[in-house]
Amino acid sequence: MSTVSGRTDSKAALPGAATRRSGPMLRWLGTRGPREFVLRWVVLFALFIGWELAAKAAESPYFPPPSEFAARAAELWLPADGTWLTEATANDVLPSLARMFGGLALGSLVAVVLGVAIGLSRRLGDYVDPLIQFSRAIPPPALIPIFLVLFDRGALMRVLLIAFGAMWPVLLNTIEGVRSVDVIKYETASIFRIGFADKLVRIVLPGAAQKVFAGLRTSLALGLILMVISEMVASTGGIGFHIVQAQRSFQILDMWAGILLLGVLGYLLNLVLTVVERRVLAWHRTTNREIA
Amino acid sequence: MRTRFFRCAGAGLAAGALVLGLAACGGDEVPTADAKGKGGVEVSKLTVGIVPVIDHAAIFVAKDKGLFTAEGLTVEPRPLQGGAAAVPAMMSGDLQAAFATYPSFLLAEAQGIHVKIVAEGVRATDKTGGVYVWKNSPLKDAAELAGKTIAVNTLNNTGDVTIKAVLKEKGVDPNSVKFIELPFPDMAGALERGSVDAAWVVEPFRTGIAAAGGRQILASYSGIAEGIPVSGLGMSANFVKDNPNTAAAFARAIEKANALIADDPNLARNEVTKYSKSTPEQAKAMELPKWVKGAPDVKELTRVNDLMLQTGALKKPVDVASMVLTK
Repeated sequence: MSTVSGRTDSKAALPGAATRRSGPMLRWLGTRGPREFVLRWVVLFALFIGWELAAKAAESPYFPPPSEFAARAAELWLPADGTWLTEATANDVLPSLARMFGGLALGSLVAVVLGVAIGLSRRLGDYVDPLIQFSRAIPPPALIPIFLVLFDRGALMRVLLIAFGAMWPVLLNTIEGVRSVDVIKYETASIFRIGFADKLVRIVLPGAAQKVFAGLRTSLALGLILMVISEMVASTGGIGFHIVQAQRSFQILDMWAGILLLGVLGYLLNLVLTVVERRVLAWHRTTNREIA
Repeated sequence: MRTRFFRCAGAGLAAGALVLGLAACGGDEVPTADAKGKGGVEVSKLTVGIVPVIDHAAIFVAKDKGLFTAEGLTVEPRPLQGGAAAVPAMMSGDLQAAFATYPSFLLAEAQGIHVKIVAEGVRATDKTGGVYVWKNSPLKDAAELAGKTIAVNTLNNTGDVTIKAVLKEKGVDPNSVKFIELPFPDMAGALERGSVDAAWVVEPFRTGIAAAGGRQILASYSGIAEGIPVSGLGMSANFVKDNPNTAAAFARAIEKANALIADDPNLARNEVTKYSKSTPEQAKAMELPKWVKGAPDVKELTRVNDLMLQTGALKKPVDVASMVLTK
């Protein structure tokens, strides 16, 4: 690894240079090199410019140019006047993110625990499979009225809704991951009389980790969606509340700004998860390479 | 190099498609018919957004009495969830006119989305809307609402605007009251569970909550908000500009219907059983709002603007006179 990290930047920046394995994740914003970076962002910028021109030509109050609502978003949420926390950030973004992470953490924890149990025991799997298939088919927004009655209109109801809706990809992937662990590893563990806790920490969880992360990535997107939807009902704050209120009061710039914020948040969260995933699963790639 | 060219071309195409799409969104003028000039209507078929409540009975009375036909109009009422959805639908050309509460029209106007008020709908009486608490609530009168949570159907609209104004008049700090949005049908349940301290309800939900044991502790349309105009019919300013005769014909028909109901409110009671789920018994028990004769009254409508300014729903005054249709 030392030779790789010692590589000079100019060399790494050459088109086609193999930066995939060693280059810092954020150097090219998730792309593999300057060339891909340029291509990817050029398309995005071209789209925005086209949108900008179209919106300016259309002059519809409902389709403001992206430059205008981007400026409004910056005004609302970017740090200014010496404080890094604007009022809108404190009222909308932080509570929203707190609820989303709370829901995702709770949902993922439940999903991993259940998933490991089900993955290890075929019999348990057979018992709960219909229940899982039934529950995950229910669109969580349809449950909002019931959750409102059961848990009232506070943060708890929203966190639970996010947890309920976002747990399924992690659960199914954990089950899958646990079942896909090489039987030889289990048998080896039995022969060496390795205890259950050790088996769990050293074989089951690492073996399922890659799939769990794949599930997490889907759950993250679901969590963001459910966060917004849950905040559109009987709410007093959050990004979803901001968007609905802006729409109702015809503050179209604020509404688009909220939509932009959601897009940016989704992008950043995915980026963060990718980085975390690479860190956590770093061993995985090396071991696989050794085996190969 | 080839691939790069194609990818850029792809981006260009996508941007081009977006341009076309947006341009299509922007230019939604209804083509004017050839009847223009001699006072004939430019567009004869109108789809009008309504909410199936008794306040919007004028449309149905006008239809039943042939008032639209007499003006050369065919009007189709389309039920909507609420007034907030009506304005975008009018802007897109999906609806040619719609009922909405005046705060919706004024908020739209304040944001540069130009709306014309073509006819008045109804005005409030002191029984039109009320703040209710559940029967076992410790709250006895309006002064105790300070620091409490009140459910309204839409924020920054008639409910919270009038409640804040009336509370302020009674010496209660309106900013100490928290408002949250709940759909009217969910309010009784929320009151019973104690999820909210009070709820603002209008007919027909008001009768239901009162029958289930709710108590009114504040009449929202009282004092400073007494007899205030509640909802009216609007059209997009562009539609009115392009189709002045249609707008005038529509306004005349509604004004005639309003005058009929003003003389005989039972017309509205009969009509509401046809377009909503209200039974004749319920319709008979309803507290009716007030229908008034004549064109939209700028002076009365400006009261809505004043209350919205006073309660912070509007930051700057809106020129209500410019919003009223001139025939």
